Amino acid sequence: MPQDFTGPIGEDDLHALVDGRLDAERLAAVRAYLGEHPAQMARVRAFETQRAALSAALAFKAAEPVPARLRLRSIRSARRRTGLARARAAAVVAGLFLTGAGLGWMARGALQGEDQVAVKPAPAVQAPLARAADVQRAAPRPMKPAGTLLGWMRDGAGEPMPMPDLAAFGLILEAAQPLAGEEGGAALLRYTDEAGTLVLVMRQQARDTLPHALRCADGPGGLVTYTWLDERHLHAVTAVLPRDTLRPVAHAVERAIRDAPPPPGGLMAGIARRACPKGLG
Amino acid sequence: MDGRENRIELLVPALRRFAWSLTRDADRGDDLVQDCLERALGAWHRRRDETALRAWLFAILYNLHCSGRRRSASRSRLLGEMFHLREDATPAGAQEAAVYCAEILTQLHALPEEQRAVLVLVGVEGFGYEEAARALGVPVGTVMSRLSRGRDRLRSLGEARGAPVVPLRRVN
Repeated sequence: MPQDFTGPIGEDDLHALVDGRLDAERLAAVRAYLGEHPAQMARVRAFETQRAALSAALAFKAAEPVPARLRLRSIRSARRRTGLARARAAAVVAGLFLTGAGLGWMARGALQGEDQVAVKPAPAVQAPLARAADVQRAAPRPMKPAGTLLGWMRDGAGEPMPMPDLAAFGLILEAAQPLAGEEGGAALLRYTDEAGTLVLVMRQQARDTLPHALRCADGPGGLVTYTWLDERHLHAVTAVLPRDTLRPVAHAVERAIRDAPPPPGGLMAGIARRACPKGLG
Repeated sequence: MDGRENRIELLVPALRRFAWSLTRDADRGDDLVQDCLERALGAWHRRRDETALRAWLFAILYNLHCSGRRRSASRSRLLGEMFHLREDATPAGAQEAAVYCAEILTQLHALPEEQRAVLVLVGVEGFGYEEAARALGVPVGTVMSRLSRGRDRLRSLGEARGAPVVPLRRVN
């Protein structure tokens, strides 16, 4: 404490005296003051007695042997166990997230607009998990590879959806599921590799008709999603994979969908424009 | 175990004493210390300042206590204990010192918590005023005013109960 030897005696001086924090000169000044002020002397003596009594009364606690649970090595090993358990839980959650919320997140775009999907992945956790449950209950439809496409399915709106062959990436189509949305249908494809890595491909009808090229968004738990929008659909490819690993998959899906030949019976059967015979002018 | 861990281990008894003075409950006090040490280990890698290790640890403990306390319930229980002790205490002979220790602790726990913390840190743990201010997250001036009010309050409690806090002698 800074000492002002010429200043008046203050409360801080009295307490510094009690706590033994006065240097010799200030101590002499304070003692002289107390000699002339017996009431303050009584206070200081009471404080000193108090201080000694508190130390004595609480000494037992510091003298007790430290419980084993308060040893740092115990706490560290407990933290390690907790960390391991959390890592396991996180792995489970990541899996659930990928199959459930990740799916719901993509499905959410069908209700809220495509551009928001690409820039706001975090709220996806609240997306409809029921849909994911529906997908898991749905019986997988094994498909046979056929060139760049495995075949076609129809989404929740009845539109045909090409199913890209991702065998070149070790990904096998495990399930295909149409999703019904309030503002149009969607389709979900679920691929897995031998290691159990899950990649979801989703296509939904677009409200925004302004196409955009491939975009990437990072979500919670390492979830990475590539999206792109063509004239009629928003597409998404999502997985818990590094961006660099997922990007070629997303490109392959994009190419396969873009270059897909019309399904049997015609992609736009009944509504596709036909070139007018020249003779009709 | 590195040097910093050794220094922390050496502070555990003082942390237990401070925690007990805040909670007056052995189990809750040790829970508090355990939480404090867990937090300290968790924040280990972020800590660069080695000079204020003690204040840092006590600050963690005090903040944990403040965030988890239930002041009113604790206060009423302690006041109940104080009145009970007053009726039963027989400060005489060899028991006098023990009873006085119990009384001073009871009086201590009748103080507002922030005053109690300052009294224990400064008077029992030997903290300097600035170090106590760091541990409690308040300015030094606040530490001094709490110290002054706490000591005066403790003194008046002792006098009100007739405890031989200090032998008074009139000079004039």
